[in-house]
Amino acid sequence: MTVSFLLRRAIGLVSVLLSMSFAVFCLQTLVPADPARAIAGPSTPLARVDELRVELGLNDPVIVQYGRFVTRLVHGDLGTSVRTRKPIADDIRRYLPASLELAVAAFILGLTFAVALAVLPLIMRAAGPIQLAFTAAGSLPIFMSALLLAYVFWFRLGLLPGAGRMSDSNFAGPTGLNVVDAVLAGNVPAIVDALKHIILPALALAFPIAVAVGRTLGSSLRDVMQQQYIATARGKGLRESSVVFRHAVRNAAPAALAMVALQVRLLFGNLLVVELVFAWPGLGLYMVQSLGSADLPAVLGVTLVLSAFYLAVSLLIEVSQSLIDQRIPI
Amino acid sequence: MNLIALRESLRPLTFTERFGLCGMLVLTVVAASAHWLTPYNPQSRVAPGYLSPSMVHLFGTDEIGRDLFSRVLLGIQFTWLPALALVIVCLVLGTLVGVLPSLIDDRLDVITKAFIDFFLILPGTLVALAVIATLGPGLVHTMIAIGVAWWPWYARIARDEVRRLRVRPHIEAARAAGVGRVRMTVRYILPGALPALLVAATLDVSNVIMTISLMSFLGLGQPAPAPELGAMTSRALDSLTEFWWLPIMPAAAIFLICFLSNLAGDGLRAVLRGS
Amino acid sequence: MIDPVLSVRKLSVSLRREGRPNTVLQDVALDVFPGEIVGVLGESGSGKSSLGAAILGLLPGASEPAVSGSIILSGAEIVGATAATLRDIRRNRVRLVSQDPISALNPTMSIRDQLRESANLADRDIEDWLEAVGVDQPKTILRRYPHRLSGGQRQRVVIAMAMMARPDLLVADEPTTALDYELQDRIVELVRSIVRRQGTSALFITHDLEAAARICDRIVVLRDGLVVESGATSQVLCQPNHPYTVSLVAARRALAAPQAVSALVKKVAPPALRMSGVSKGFELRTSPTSRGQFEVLRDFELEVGEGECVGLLGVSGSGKSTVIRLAAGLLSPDRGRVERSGDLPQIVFQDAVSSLTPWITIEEQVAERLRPLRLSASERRRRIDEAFELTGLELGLGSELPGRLSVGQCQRAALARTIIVPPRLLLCDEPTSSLDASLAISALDLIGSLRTRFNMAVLFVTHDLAVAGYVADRLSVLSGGRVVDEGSPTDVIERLRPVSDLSATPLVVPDRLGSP
Repeated sequence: MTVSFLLRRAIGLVSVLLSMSFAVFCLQTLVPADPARAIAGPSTPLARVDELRVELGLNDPVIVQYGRFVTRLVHGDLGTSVRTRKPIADDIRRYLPASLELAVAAFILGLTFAVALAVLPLIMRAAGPIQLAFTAAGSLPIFMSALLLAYVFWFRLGLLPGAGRMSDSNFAGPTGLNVVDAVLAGNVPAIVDALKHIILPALALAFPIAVAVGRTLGSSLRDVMQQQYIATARGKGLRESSVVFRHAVRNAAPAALAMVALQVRLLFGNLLVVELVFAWPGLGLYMVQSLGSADLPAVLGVTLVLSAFYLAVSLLIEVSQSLIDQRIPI
Repeated sequence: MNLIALRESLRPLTFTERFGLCGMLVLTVVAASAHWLTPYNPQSRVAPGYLSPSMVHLFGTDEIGRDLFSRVLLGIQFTWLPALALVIVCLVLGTLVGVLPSLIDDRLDVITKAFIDFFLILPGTLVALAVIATLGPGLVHTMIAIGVAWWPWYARIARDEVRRLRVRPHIEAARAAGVGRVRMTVRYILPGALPALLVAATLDVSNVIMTISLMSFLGLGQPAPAPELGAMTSRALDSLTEFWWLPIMPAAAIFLICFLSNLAGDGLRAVLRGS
Repeated sequence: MIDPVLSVRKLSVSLRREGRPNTVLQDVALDVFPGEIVGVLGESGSGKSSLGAAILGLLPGASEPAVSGSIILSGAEIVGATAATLRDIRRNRVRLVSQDPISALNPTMSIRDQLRESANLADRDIEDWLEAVGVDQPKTILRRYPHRLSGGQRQRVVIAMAMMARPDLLVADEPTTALDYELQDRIVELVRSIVRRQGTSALFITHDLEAAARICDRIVVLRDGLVVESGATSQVLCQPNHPYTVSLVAARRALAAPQAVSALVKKVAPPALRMSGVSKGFELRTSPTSRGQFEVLRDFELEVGEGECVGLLGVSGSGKSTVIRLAAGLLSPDRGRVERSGDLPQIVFQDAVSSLTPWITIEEQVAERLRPLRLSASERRRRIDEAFELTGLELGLGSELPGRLSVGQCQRAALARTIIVPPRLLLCDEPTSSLDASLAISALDLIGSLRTRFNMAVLFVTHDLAVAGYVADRLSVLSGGRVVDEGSPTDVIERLRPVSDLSATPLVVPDRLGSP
């Protein structure tokens, strides 16, 4: 990996973030609501509101306002939430770990199931019904699967808790990821408790991931197995398992990785729903509440942060794709 | 594409694919005529509230006493038709932008690529949420928000297809024959790009449906009495334990239309792959 | 009585294509004795590749193969063998070298890993093998991935990969078709020498008569899944019995005979095409993270007089196609000038079928160049019919789509499109390289007759020496981005291939054959 390449990608990332911040800024100015009025409250006299506007610099030219916006961004200041009245950056820092934990758990589960699902058609001969089952599974809206999981495992069977992250709401650890913290503390009941809480929402999120990635991996594997070099590998007298794992999977991986990237994109929307259904105190729930109270700065702030996050992840995925298949240019 | 070729490729369709295509047609008809099909008035109270599903009320009644089946039927209209319209609009708009450099000037390609890439790189749902937070709730706003996030997908496919086709021998031959820009794009290139675009569109319908219902689930669609499927589900979340049909039926309806459109998408893809 | 290494008896294979079973091989019988090279000669569709695959038990599973008969290899029966038996046989007894090396190698594995998989040899032995097959700098090659090797290097690697397992039988399925003529000779020679050196037997599957003539001891001729002739090479090629073999040999021999002198070249008129000092480069991805500039043409000079037919000879990747596109105006040179007298030249492409747009009717495509002329409907009709007639295309085909036409008909349609408004200059980009011998001759004759009729200048680009000699008044040789030789066809070809000039090909001189 050359320095120039890394530099090029870094510049690309920064420029995208800049244009995104500009878009966010433009959206903010589109709002018919008056931020000064929103902060001051409906009963404050007009004169005071006007003063506030000058204080906030709302009467300055757009460029200046944008400049200030960007400077604040660079310093990690995303503005203040209209709803919580706290700095958005703080809010994000508070709620991010919960969402991170959930997302990671979802992907771990989802990708594991995906590999199993991908290999299934190869083992079983019933291609048609499996395809149908896949299509049906992929048509399930996220809130339905979340609801069904909650209904079955929490309401009917009473096996797992239906809301929250931990029974003991005062549990806190260094990383903010409850499972990890519990493991670090060696606190076995806490580990179990954390796991019990996370399993249902993670499953709900993992389900569409498993279906989509599994399907892509499966069809990619099928295509790869028809290729000439698989015949060559068999012609060398290799065992079938060698052929599949040493030759086929590597070539099928890039397509599957592309689907993983897509799933990361789709994750954000699904996260909102799952956190809402399971009352999981993460960024998704925060976002929903902000949307509900028309807290535009918070919404935009979270959007900015999550987008930056997504850009980093997709860059990582693209790099891994190129590493696996040397033909793919970065 | 020649109709004869199309008809010939319809033969190898499986039962499920044909089922999906028919189902989609039926769905469109049902959605369009929902107003006439509802057994009861979906907006007014027709029976005691919280009745469980029965022969009289197929899906039961909701908290106010409205017939849930009628509401769901209307909800299908509110979800399916906008989704179709949205996909078609994005398809047309995206294709136009994607073939623009081919129509006007090849040097435009750099600009269009940057333009498309910028929109594409951001997660669609986030963009849609940001837009709708700015505009405020409502069906039209939801459509605009999703449309803004969705059209670049088609533009990118159109552009990729144009670039792929331009180096094909038959396009080079057409260029050598002196075919003009507009005729080249419309007659020679677009028909070749159409399969990929249509495949993407069919894959997309269910995604759009999901996103529309997700937005309405989060309360960003039309305000309260409107029978939007996602909103009906979220508003009835608390009733899951006691009156399960209230959130489950609308969600099941969403599942059904997504499933049918996915099957139809598979069918359409099989047809297009044949040609 | 020595036992044959390979003994095929009553082999019948049927594959499922487009939902229907197709008989690909019928009652095929052949033997390969130790130390022998047996050629399987057949054109595309004859089933020869399926034969090769069947011998290794590698028929594609997706085609649901139905195999009956017997294939005995080194004493083991292949038909109906268990997976374990097949594995053992493939590992130690028989190996396949197939047509297209780029798809035969795993793109995501290094060359070293793939070679090491083939036989458990130490690195040094693997390097020795690479040297034996003529690969320079084996250490560097081992580290690379397949797409970074040239076509010739890849094929050598594939051959090494097969031979290092020391099989009893090597099945070579068209090992040179994807390569250029210069390389073809060398690879064929390589196969012969390495096979002889190790005492391996070989089954050489090909459509190329000359290659088969050069190295095979015996030849089996396959047509539509049936063996129509078999015997010693000299006998099959010089005194063929079956009418099919007769026509095959005759077609190839016709190409070997130089054409009658072509139309007079008017030196007075301005040249139809002049390219002077032309340089053209492309961007190339040298590695995933860096790009390089690759110069295809360097100070390239070419002139085609009015009514003249100039042949441009070059190996694959030499830039022949770039020359065509520059001459046609589809590309512009980075440096230098391309001058044409007259309007846009027309192009005849290598693959006629893909040069026709699949969703537009033949008639509309042929008449495409009539559009700016704004002719009356009757005049337009007349011109179209005339073009059809001149190229031997049935008038009724006009309303069909290209998918309904045969390869030969597509070739004619593409030609009709070019001559409907006769151009000053006709550019031919290897139009016969993917055609069978008989089709190739008729295509060349057609181009020749059209050329005489309309007094068109022709720039004919190819890698096939015989074809170039058949059509051209003058030949130029392209190598390293520039013209390195030019002159009359006989002179140039003689300089290129001094060993066997066209009149002395093995086809005509029987006593050159059969010697190991």
